[in-house]
Amino acid sequence: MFFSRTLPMILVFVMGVIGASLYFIPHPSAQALENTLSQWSIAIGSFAIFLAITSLIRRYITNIKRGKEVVYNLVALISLFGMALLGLINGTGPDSVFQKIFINVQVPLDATMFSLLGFYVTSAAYRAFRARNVEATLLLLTAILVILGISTIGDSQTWLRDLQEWIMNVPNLAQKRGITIGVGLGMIATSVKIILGIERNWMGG
Amino acid sequence: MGILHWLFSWETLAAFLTLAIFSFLYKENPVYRLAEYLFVGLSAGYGFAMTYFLAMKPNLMDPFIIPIMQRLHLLGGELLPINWWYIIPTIFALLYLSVITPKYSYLIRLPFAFLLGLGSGMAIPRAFQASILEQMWDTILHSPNWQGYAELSKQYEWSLTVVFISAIIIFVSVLAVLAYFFFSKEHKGAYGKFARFGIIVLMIGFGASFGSTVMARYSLLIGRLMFLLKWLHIVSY
Repeated sequence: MFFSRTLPMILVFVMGVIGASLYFIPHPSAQALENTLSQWSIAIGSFAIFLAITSLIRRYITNIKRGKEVVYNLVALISLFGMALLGLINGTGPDSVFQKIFINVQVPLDATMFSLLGFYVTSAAYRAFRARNVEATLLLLTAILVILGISTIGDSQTWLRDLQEWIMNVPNLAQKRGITIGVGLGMIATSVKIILGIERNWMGG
Repeated sequence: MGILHWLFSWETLAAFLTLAIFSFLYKENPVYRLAEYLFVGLSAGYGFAMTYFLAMKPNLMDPFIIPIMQRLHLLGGELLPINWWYIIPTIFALLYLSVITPKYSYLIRLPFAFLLGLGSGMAIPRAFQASILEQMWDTILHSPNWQGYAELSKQYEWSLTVVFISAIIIFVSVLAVLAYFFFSKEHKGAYGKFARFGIIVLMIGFGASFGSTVMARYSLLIGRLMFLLKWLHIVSY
């Protein structure tokens, strides 16, 4: 019970208080401690990738054992090991095979995958955007104006480009700012709840 | 030789994979799925190698684990100094592996507690500074902003009047958006109308975000199509 519940909660509280108070102490030793703790948290956090990769590999191996989509799972497994080993053994320098595979295989796959969304987002907009009320009409109009302003039409029709810039920098900024303030307040509230042990979902069951 | 070189080049591989992903537009097929699984595998492998070199090696391996391995004659090379303080993150990091044994799997909560506690503690003043104070400061029509208005006027080629009216619109709109998200007061009467203005601002903002997202996707699509045309030597730029 002590190691499974009490110690983690004490640790969260202590680290939370240290993390929050270091910000307000301008002494160089406090800044050094903050840097060290940040480095430690990066080190500990990065180690979690072992868990993620292990879980992924286990899933692929289970699928292969069950005879489920063997070829696809093998491709994923081989590419995972191949890419990781290439990086770890040969290095990740700009002229390495690792970077060549990244630029010529992963980047095109990534860019094409996201470009596909262009089709789906258009089709979704066609189905979802109906000028049913004032709010929906405003959303539709703004989206159209921004699309036209960014496109080549905006080059010839400068008023359209100006309007698009104004929309992005004034009402869009105001909306984002309002949401950012709300998100900030939410972050502070959640952080306080975690440090004080009110929020315990992170401990699991 | 020229055709063979073209056929077995990195560009041809990239073009084949681009076409494989585009084939999904017709319907889901084995070539698309092969490319999809390849992408997942490569991304995981890439993420692992980059995390090792950018995060794990400088913050854990170099200060502690590699010097220890060198002293145990498991690794060669120039002897690195041991930073004994790093035994603490090493222990926390190794506790992740407790998840392998169901009996001691609860120990994984300790590295989580360290990260969550420190992250939450550090987030409180920073979120207050970046998400609240600075946003409010930029929204309020205060005197140092006058200089900023002149710069904005120059940057966007807007007249000072437009910049000033825009600043007032931003100020009122931010208040309206916050009013809409404030549920401790019933949205009725004048306050309700003000909150409704907040919804209008939100809708305009969502429309603008949607429009720019669509254009970003189209820009990627145009980029891929241009790449294919360049690969086929139809265009040269």
